[in-house]
Amino acid sequence: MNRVIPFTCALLFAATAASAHTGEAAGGGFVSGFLHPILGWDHVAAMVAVGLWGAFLGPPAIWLLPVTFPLVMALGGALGVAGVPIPGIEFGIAASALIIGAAVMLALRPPLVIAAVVVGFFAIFHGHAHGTEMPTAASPLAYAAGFVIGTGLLHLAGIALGLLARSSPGKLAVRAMGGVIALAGAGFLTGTL
Amino acid sequence: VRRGTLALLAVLAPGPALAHDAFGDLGPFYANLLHPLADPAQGLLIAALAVLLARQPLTTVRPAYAGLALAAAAAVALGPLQAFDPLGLRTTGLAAAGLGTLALLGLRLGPVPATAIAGVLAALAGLAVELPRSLVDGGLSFLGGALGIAIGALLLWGLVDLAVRRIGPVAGAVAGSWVAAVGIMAAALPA
Repeated sequence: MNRVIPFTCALLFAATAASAHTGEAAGGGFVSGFLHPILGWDHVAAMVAVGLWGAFLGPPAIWLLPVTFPLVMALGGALGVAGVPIPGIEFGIAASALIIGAAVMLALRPPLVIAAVVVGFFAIFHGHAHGTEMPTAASPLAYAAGFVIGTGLLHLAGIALGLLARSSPGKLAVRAMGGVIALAGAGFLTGTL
Repeated sequence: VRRGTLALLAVLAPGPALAHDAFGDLGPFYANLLHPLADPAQGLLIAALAVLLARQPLTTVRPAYAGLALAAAAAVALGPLQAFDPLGLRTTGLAAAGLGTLALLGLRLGPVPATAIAGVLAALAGLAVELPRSLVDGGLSFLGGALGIAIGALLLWGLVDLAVRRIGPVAGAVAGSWVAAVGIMAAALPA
């Protein structure tokens, strides 16, 4: 017994290797940030709607809206990181799918500034939701890069679908997609989805 | 008693510290070649420079890229002499936000300002590489670190430049907005 106890203690307390600055943290942070907007249906619906609306409105909105969104989203993210509270985050995210989806469905063509302000307003809610989770990520900076790229790719998917609006049947299909997104937004808003 | 003493020694003996062992034991060259992937701050700075250069004409890119590669190599070599953390999140974030905004706006900088910006920021990125003291490992780390920055910037520049040529300047503007967005959030993160 006298021999066993010291060696057992040695095994229990033996120092293990410290792996500082590993790629796992950066990779894990990036992947979790990238998947955050893609795996949340409310985020997906709103991002695709932004792309659809941009493509539907045509140049310069086709690129101005997807450029405006990440920049304003970053400001919302910064507020989230700083712990500045914004009321109704989930409400704002759900409403973004409803409003932007409805704009596509109804083929609304407001002045470019109004469209940018609408998109920018909702971007703050999406950014804040991502930003509050960012400091707890394995690598916050990699998480931020992941969710900006994930969001941007969803916009590109929306734009690609929205380019169908160049033909008459395609325009009908794009407006129908807007309707589906608006319905989904209503579902998120009421809690049925 | 002897075994007890040995056990105590085993407890107190520190384990090896595997700093910057980002992708397993790749050796000093490859570990530093891949450093921009393991260190998001360095990676962001390189990406921001590449996106900015992709919005410039080739006559500006040539001297700017040469300045970037030389400054990065010099900074990696001088890295052990610096006594501060060059890539704090705030510094990196603000630099990336600025470069991303310039790329978003598509401003033509001209060869001299572009080379100066590329040189200074590549030097900051280079200072993030740590060199071991031994001659062989230090030399391999230097080569890997300097090449990692130069190749990373070249690959990303090529990728964005290709997108700009295929899709149009809007592709560069979108890439710029992404870089600026990441930079803004990086600057907001606690240091």
